[in-house]
Amino acid sequence: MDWGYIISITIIGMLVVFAALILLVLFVQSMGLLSTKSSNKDKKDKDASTNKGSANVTKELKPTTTQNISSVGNDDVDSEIVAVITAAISQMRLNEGNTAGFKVKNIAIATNSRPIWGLAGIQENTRAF
Amino acid sequence: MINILIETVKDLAVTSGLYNLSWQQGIMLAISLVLMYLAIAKGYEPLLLLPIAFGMMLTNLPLAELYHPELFAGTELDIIEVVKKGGLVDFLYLGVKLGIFPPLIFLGIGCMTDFGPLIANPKSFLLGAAAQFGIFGAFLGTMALSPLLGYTYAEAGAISIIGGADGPTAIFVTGKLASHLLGPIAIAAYSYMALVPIIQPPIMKALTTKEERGIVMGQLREVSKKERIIFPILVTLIVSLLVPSAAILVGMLMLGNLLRESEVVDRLVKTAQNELMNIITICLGVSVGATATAANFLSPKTLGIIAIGLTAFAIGTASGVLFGKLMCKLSGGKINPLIGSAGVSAVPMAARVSQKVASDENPHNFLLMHAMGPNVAGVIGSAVAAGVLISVFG
Repeated sequence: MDWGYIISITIIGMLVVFAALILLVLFVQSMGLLSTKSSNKDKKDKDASTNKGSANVTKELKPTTTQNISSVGNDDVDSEIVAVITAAISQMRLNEGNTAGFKVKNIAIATNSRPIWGLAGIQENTRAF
Repeated sequence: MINILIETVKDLAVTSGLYNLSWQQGIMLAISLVLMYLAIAKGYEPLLLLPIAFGMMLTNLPLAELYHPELFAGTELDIIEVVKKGGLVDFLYLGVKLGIFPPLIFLGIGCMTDFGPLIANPKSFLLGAAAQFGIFGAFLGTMALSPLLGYTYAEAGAISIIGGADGPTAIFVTGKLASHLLGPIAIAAYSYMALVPIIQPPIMKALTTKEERGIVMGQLREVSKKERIIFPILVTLIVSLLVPSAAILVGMLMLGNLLRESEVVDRLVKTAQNELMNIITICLGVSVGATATAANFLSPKTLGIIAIGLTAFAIGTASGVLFGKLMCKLSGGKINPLIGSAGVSAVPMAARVSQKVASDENPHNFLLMHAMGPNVAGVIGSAVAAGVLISVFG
């Protein structure tokens, strides 16, 4: 039993693992920086082009929302809930840099694309292997 | 006439399993029943432990000859012999021996894994790397026990992979390096993975201060779809070019993830996550359990594996937490060291344990997504470590 060999395998093994993952850190960080720069640039471009329209957004949103509450498809949805959902969508779009107006035409409960047993199966399968 | 009757009954009795049951096989049958109890009643990783336990029971039934270990002994595998003399379990075992099942399991795992927290905070990779000291620390420990228990380098490599806390990786490496130890190593790996919520917290609390456990980490940034698609391709290329032996495991993991993130092959994702995973799990579990014959399992080496496995988990947890403390100091207190323990790749259990220990300190501290980063990084790290062990000892 050669302890020099054993210790060198241990050290080299850890070094290789760290080297591989440090390389990944560098690449993923670079990818993240490029992605952030690119999305910031897109955001600035959108802000610049829709700057004039931004003053109208609030005006545009309010009448659109109030006009359409009565035409919302689901009669069970409270008008306050409609207002909250519309405000959340508006804020999300502003965060993405999308300042164009929008119209809420229908609010309905989304049916899950997966049957409930499929969902249960996936939850069971995501337990640790 | 009566003599013929007596002779026939005597022949039947002599060829029955009960007559031919050895005490060693009796012990193995009892152990398999205990493992089934743990899987069903206690919920210890039932998806794999239950088929493993049942496979163990089947292989230790006298004269049933469901599994023929002599077909797989030696360095060269004679497929023609397996076809001529093998049965169902022998054919299923080919999936383990040839290294087919574990990568397919990784395909399904990749389809179910969200690498977003890791992409958002790439430094988590380092915590995943640090926790892999559990593997190499276990290697040192195994070789220290070698004069007593007679482990070879290849066996030590296979045993130490338990420290990666990754079932498919452990089975893949053991199948390549020491397939005769597959039964005890797989059972040890999955049992300790189920015990992560018991093994880790005392170590985490012992190595961290109250203040460190209470650190609240900042929100992770949004990860774009482009990054999620490029990530699996990048990881496959970098890891495979550096450690080619890890290519199959990492490649399949990342293929699964790419299928998921591309959002254009939903049918394939659903199949990989559900039907494929379930089929492979059954085949893998039964065939791995079938290797746990009395001759392989009831030896001092198995006791050594059980002891080393526990030590490996403990070392992996400790090294992850200690590296987390180092990163906490270097980042000026922005990183909670508890997420370091999630670097052992028991996904998502280890991340949940980090969340639980943090929330014991501060109920408003939501560390789960931060801990998922090192947790999934640990899967990649253990695959790299597996590649190193296979290329050195394979």
